[in-house]
Amino acid sequence: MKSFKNIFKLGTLDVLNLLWRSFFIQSVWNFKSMVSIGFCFALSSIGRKVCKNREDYVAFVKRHLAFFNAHPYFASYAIGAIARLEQELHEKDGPTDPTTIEKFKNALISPLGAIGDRCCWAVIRPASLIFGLVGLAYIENQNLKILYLFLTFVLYNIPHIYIRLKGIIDGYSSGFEIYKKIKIENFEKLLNFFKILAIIGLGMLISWDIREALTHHWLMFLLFIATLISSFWMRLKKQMFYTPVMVSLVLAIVCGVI
Amino acid sequence: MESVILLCAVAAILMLDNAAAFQMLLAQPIFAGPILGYLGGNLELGFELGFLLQLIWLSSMPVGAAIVPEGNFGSMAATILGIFLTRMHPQYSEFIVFLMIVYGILSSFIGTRAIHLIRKGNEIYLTWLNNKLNQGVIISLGRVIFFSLLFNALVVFIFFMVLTILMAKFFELFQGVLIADLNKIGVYSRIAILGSGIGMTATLFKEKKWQAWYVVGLLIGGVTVFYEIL
Repeated sequence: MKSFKNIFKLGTLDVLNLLWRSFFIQSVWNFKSMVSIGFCFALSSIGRKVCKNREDYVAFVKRHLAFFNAHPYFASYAIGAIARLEQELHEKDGPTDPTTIEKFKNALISPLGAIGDRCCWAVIRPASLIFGLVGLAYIENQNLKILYLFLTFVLYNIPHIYIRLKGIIDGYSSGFEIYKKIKIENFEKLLNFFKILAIIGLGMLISWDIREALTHHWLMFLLFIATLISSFWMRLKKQMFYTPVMVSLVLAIVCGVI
Repeated sequence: MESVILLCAVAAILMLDNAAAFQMLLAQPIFAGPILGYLGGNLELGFELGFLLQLIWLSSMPVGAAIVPEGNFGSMAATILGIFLTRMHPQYSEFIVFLMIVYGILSSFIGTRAIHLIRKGNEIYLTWLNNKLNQGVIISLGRVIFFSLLFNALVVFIFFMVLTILMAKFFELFQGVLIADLNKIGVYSRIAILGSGIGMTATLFKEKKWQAWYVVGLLIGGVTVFYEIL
């Protein structure tokens, strides 16, 4: 196997260009080909470099306008890997042909979607938002609240941009081998940090809410506990969010009328 | 009216961050609420609605290509209308918070239709691109992305404007029957949403091995609250 230095031909500007373009991967999301136009847009800077003539580039664009879907952040792993495979295809120095690239791209759809949903939508995003909510709850001064929101923004976007960047670099350096790096275990430490942050945050929000409720009226405390337990239970029973919220609002109306 | 147009335009741009571009959290209610609140001259309401509406949708996840109620759309629609109504009828400020929570949930379903329309519209670009490629014509994909984002923002802007105008007119119809006592419902609904939001979000972090950290959070929160009281 070739060493990292030997195979890494992307310059810093190329990587930054891919990173910038990866932010638009879902811009033309459609039901026929999902994120394919955005994916093709991200890769087109590489395509223009490696394709030798117009026909070659037309074939390149057609190839990547075919159906593709992935988690928007983790799609960068596919961008990096396909960039390398396209380069190999056009430089004729690898066992690559267009059909293999298409099959490989299709094989990446499920793992990239699954790991992205589990990492970003299920842990990092809610944890960062809980961090933000804690600040809004505990801080009274509006300027400090704005500063705290900025911190929340940074807290979320550091792992976000790290995943995109790492995806491009790892994808490019690994090519076909990238599937070995798309494993939830590789993100364990990051996820554990965010899980602990989220749980401490939820605990702090409960303390704050109990104080809020008790300083107003005992009925508010009862309402808080009732809505907390009932919503937790209903969500566990796979109810959509609106059932627990509507039940809570009906309880609030009853308490308000009483 | 000018401020409603401004708020709808900013909200339409912020909605691009929801799924079309960047996805850096700016479309989430916790950020969009204060931004719209600041521009609409009611930062406090922006913080409050952002906080409450964020809790409602915190546990909802867009898994794969599934279409879920557009919580971010609903939150922005509710914040715009909330700012407008509070300016017109400050005596119902607490009740308006309750109304905006309900309206935010309802408009999240309308938001789903708007997103569906945009995604259906995006199919035109794909067909057009493929036709041109078959003729051997190469189209700049950057331009396609730009026009798609423009179309996206325009559709969302129109939805926000129509919803805000219609709902403001609808609220006027009930002017005579509204009483200040309704504000109590607003106060209780705030606590109910806090409980409900935390309860739903806790289901995302229910693994046994992490449960001790809830106690740590409760203790830190308890000590902070106790320190404030002292």
